[in-house]
Amino acid sequence: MQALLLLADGRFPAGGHAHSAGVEAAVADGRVTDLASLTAFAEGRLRTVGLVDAAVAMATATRLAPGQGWDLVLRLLDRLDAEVDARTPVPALRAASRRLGRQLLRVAGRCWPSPLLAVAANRGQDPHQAVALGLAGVAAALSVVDVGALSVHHCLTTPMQAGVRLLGLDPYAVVAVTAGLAEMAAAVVAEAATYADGPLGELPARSATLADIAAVAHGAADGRLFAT
Amino acid sequence: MRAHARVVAEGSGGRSRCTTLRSAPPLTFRETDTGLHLVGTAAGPVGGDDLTLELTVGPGASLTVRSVAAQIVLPGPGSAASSTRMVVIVGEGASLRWRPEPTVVVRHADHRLTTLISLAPDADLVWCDEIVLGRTDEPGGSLVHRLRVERDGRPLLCTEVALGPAWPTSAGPAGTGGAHVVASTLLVGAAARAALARSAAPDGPGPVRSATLALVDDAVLVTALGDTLGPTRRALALRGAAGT
Amino acid sequence: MGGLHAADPGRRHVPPGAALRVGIGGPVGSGKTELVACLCAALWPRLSMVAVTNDIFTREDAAILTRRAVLPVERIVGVQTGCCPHTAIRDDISENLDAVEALEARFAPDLVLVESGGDNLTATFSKALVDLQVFVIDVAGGDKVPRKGGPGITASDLLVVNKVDLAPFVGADLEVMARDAAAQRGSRPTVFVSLRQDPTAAPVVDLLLAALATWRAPG
Repeated sequence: MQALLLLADGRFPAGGHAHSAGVEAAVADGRVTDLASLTAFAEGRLRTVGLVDAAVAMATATRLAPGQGWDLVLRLLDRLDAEVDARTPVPALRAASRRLGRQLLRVAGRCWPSPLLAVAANRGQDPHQAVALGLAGVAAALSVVDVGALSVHHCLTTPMQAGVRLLGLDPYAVVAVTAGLAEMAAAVVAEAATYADGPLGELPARSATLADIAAVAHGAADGRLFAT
Repeated sequence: MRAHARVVAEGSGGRSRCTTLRSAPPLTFRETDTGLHLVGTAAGPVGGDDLTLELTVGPGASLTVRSVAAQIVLPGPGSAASSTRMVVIVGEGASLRWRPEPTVVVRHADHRLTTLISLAPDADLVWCDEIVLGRTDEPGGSLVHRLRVERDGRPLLCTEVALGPAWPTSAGPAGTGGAHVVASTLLVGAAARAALARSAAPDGPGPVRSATLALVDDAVLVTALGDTLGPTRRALALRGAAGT
Repeated sequence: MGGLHAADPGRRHVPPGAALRVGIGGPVGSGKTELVACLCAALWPRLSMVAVTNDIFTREDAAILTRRAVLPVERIVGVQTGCCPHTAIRDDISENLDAVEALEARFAPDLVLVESGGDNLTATFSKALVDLQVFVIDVAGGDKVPRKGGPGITASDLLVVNKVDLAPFVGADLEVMARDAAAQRGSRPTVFVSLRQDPTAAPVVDLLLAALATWRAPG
């Protein structure tokens, strides 16, 4: 339980606070201006990136276990990362995902040291964030469902928090809306879970065209406050 | 209605021809000097249809597929869904250009398109996809397009774009932002390198949004969103995704 | 300069030959960026240096630095803090640590400067990110600032009071500031400078060079 709570904590030092989940780009081009549009944005993300990341994290946690042969682990990580690459056509977002993956591995390795995390950290390539979350979940002995719930939790809270910072929205209203999205979040976790055991090629791939386009523009923007 | 069409192109370069050309309406093909054309597509798919197209371009062969008219996806009786499944293989040293007219998703239609493309390591590809949500002055129907491209057995691109009223939030600020035209072109090979070498105008808020997404150094996804087809196509062309 | 407490439990484990990492914090407009530029001008290329800035780093800023030739642009990295300048240097140092480690791997510098985003008096650096902390305030911020205290004033290894040339115009009593700073800081040094009038930043440079010598000394 404590591991789950630590990983869910926004203060867990895994680099997340520097990312806005696309909110800064959406504010810059006028798509997000207030709590209603921020909520719509967060919901849209939950159903696309949120579903994909949760499914990847859960597929990772399902397939990896302490004590597996390192050959198998390395091949699995390679395959999982390739599937995430294919679902992340924006280069800046692929890079950010791997950076966050590395940062999560770093702190998870300090909290729940395990040979599995050591192998992943020395692989020579940073894992994508969703894959790293699956790895951290295995190291911390979390259930697969918990891993999915963590993924969705961060997918929801990151943009909402960025909205507070960028737009000065009422933090009480924002957290109330976040709490109100509990059912949708649970539904996304449940849907993601249905893919955890299946072929990796069939993992969800729901994408958001405008978010990808805006991410490219944001990455090139001058004087931005958030990394993504 | 179930329909299963097959196309196999063989030969080399300019001397490729379709050794197999089995049409299955509404997937009806005609081969001309300028390539292969999809004809008579205005009749569907219609709700309730399950269509399959297998398209193979043999080693060294080259095939261009166009269509004579937009494909109109129509609703069927009792708002039944329709589906199209495309299984595409492009062999070693082969080249495929898939450049049909747009797909118009008519109000109340509910369509699932699944495209699976397997590329040999040195295959060239231009895969165009233009979706128009609704006829003029009408709201559109629903479409989900899952596109999976593998090269040499490894995933290259895997996206699923869900559009229309069957997919809540799809038109919202994290979706299309209300755009009526969603267009993309996947370039693999020489055309991709050329697109990457261009310094296209940066994107910004406006009636058309577009971007060039580098997947790897010889594969690029060029995407554009707009309210009307013409400007959206021009945005793709500026990024090197037209006339190829 | 009494800034290196080797037995400090929060201090990072330092491999031999590692660069000295210096954090530069302080309120907006006090002269942090100017101090970074002055230090680079004074010490580069005599020392191999790199800089990470948490201040919004625009292309215009990069162009200014290139024109002034204080440090090659590839040795300066801007890090986004997501509107949380405190967090980025103290609570979750991931992005800064990555940037510092990447620059160290690429250039093997003698000195790393990390400039925080403009902030108030409560921001300090994590000891896992930097080895020494320099806090910059300026006289125009008011001569009562040292008396207010706060971790930047009291616990930084070096307090720099900038813009002393403005003291008469803003009614700031430098003696009061010096006395209050000493009361807050004990034996930790405070220097008074005007970076505009004397861009050599000599007092700061001298203390840094002394710290670097101690840093490199065996044992």
